[in-house]
Amino acid sequence: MATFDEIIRRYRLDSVELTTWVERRWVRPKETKAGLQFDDVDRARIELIRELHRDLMVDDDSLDLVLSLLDQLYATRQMLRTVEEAIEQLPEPLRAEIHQRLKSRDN
Amino acid sequence: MRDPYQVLGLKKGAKTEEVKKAYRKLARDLHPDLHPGDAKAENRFKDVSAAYDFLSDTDKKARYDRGEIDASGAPRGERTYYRTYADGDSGTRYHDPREFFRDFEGMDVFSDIFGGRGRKRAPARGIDSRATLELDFIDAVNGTTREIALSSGKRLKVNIPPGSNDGQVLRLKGQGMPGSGGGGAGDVLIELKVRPHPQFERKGNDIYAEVPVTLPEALLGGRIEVPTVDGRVQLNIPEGSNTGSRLRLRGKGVPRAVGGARGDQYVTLKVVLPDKPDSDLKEFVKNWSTRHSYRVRS
Repeated sequence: MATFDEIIRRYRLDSVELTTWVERRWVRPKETKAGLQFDDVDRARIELIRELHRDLMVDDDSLDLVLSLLDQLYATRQMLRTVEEAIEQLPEPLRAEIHQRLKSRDN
Repeated sequence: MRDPYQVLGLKKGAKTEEVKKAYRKLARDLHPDLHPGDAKAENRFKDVSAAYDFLSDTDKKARYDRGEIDASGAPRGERTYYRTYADGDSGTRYHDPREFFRDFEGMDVFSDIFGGRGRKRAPARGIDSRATLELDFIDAVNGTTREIALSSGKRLKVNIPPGSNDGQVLRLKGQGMPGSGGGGAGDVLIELKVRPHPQFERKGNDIYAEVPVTLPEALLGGRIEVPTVDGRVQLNIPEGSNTGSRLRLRGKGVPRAVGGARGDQYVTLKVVLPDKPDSDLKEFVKNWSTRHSYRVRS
């Protein structure tokens, strides 16, 4: 866990910038009595946003879109994994059939 | 560390603007969070960002350019990328799949897969099954009945209506995969492949055939037997017919599936000389031609 100030220092952000990110829900820290608390996911996400913004020159409006698409991408990946796990629990002939069908779609 | 310029694909001493541009391009292609499925992206991106970090430091860059220092800098701390969390359980704070796929009618992937968790499942029509069926020309023209086996193992009797065409798709309603949640079964779509016939050719509802005739039949006329899609019929050859003469057999074409007039068959004659013209014929033609020369080419 890290506080707002710690984050600003560590990632060399200014406080307006980070506040905007939190307000826009790009970063979703926990709200505690002691203030905002950023955990590992939030920190990794902040680093990503900072790179998109500073290095890849994605402006604020586009960042909204990019993050939304990324979130959908990761949601889809997660969903796929859930499906994959469900498939792995099926009896072997069914599993083989599913693999076969997925394979025939590859080309 | 390798030469940071080389890592970014640049010439030694490239300007800061060029360094930025090259890095931006590479980061777009390699950033692990933008390419979660690419396992190699992380290592390559690490090199690229280390090189960029190094060259972003104007002081370091100038000294490196002058050859005062080499490219070994302090190693970057191990970084855990967002994708690691995003692909793990903690990612759901930012992208709960259910949050994304819940609100679109008909796109509720999760409830489709898991049988309506917390929500009534919309009736879904079963999937259409597809099959191809190869047919002889005559069967397609006259119609027939065939049994086919679907990939599901189901066997079906298929009525092929008269006048069916190559490429035509027959739809058997409700014979496909079963639906769910009260939705009806899908259809079976059968595409017809009609094998060509050695003698008959179909154009619309008419049939064309070439029929060989002998020299006397062509010259003197007569009655010959010709094949049709209904079997053999008698055809009158008028006197003085020639190769290419076209005769019509009314109503011997393609039957219509539902009422309506049937097409015709057109017979194109082809005059065939005897295999080995004998001396009689040759003698006769020689004599004849001296008195009756005619031109057939301009």
